[in-house]
Amino acid sequence: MTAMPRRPAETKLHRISDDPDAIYAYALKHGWTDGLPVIPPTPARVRRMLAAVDMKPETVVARVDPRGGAATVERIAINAVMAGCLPEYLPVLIAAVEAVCDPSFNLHGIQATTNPVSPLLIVNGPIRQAIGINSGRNALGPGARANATIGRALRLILLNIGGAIPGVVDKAILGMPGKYTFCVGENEEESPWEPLHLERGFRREESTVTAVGAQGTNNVLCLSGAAEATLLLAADALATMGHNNVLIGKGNPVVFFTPGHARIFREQGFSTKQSVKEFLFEHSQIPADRFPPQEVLPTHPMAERALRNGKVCVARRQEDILVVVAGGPEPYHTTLCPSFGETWAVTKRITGGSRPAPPRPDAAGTGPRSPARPPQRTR
Amino acid sequence: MKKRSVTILDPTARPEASLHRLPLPPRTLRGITVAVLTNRWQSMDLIAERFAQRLPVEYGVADVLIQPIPLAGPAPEALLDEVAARAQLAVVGLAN
Repeated sequence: MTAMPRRPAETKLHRISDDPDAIYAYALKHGWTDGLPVIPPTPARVRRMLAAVDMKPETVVARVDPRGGAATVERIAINAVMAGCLPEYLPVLIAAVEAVCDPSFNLHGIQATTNPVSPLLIVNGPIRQAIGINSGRNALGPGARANATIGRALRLILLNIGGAIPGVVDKAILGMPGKYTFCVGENEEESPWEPLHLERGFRREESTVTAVGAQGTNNVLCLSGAAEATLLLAADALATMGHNNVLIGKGNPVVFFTPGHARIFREQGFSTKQSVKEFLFEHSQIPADRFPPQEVLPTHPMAERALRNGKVCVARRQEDILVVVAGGPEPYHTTLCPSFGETWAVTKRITGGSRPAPPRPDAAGTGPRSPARPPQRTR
Repeated sequence: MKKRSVTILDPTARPEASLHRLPLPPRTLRGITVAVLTNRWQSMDLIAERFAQRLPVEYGVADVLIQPIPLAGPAPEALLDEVAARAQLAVVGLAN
């Protein structure tokens, strides 16, 4: 039998009615939730969550800005339970916390800004299939417990540990739905190209999570079956004067292509992701004289943008555009997410999951159950 | 019918202790240097300008040091050290 980890003495306990409505009201009253109901983080549930990783509950994974709260393994587990995660998701969530707390991600800015930005989590490697992360049809939509709850758990961590209280610290003017949950896998099996984590220096057999400071999804419809026509439409959508990455000249805009579009690209001469990025970069540049004469972002005047031969680029370098294969097989829809600009994508290896998940008498997931083998450890 | 209860764990974290370790403010503004850290949004630039105009005249401040900081991220440690060395009081402005 797996030994249950001890709970750190400092964690405060609350004794409340076990009525679901009362639990929901209590979480709302204390500002612990994104507005949706939560699973009560009972000591037993949290212990089961913690038993999925080989880490001490009191270990501090990171300090979460702007509050600087300590994201201990236990606090991450508590928020994971509340969001509806299964224990085997915890290693992904821990890596996600490490990623968003990396200084180059600029979580402080992302948490407090007026901009509609949220961490977008892109999961690569064998863990996607082991825990049921959807990278196929509706990958960015509802239906998969892993996608829904890992993204949501990160949001609760940003709220409860990082202090991003909407309207108080989180000053988003409109916000966007991805601030509830924003987690997807890359469809590596149906991609003709190397997956994102290989591009970023990891091995194919490793599992990783990449955090991107992303704005909401923007769809591009292209049914032509012609590679260049499809890429031109995607480049046109990228070339938006008001996107932060355009105005600031930094960040990683993300373009999701379906396996169908990726296959067409490959068949029609775009044999690598790099060739696609090169085309997008070249065809999304905006002539500087098209911008209004008034500086639309005075803090970043024209001279500070990513300029090239009198044109404004959507990224500093073509490599900074992230191309990810996801979604259903049809070569119809392409989706892109602009970047917050003052942020760089961060990829972390998923580790810590060396223990098999213990029995879950109260778990009722719709996704795959225990992983066939435990998630990988870091090298 | 008897009401049943459940024990749950608190999901929140306290703010990092160092965030609350602020030095006591000076007893007077007269004769000191005040730094105004601005993230360069238009409204903060205006506010910083007003500080620079009025603090010396109305409160006897010796000097107002206006220091730009990043638009949407934390200020570098080296910059904060420099400000701490040059000023006895700092106002951090993040006006939008």
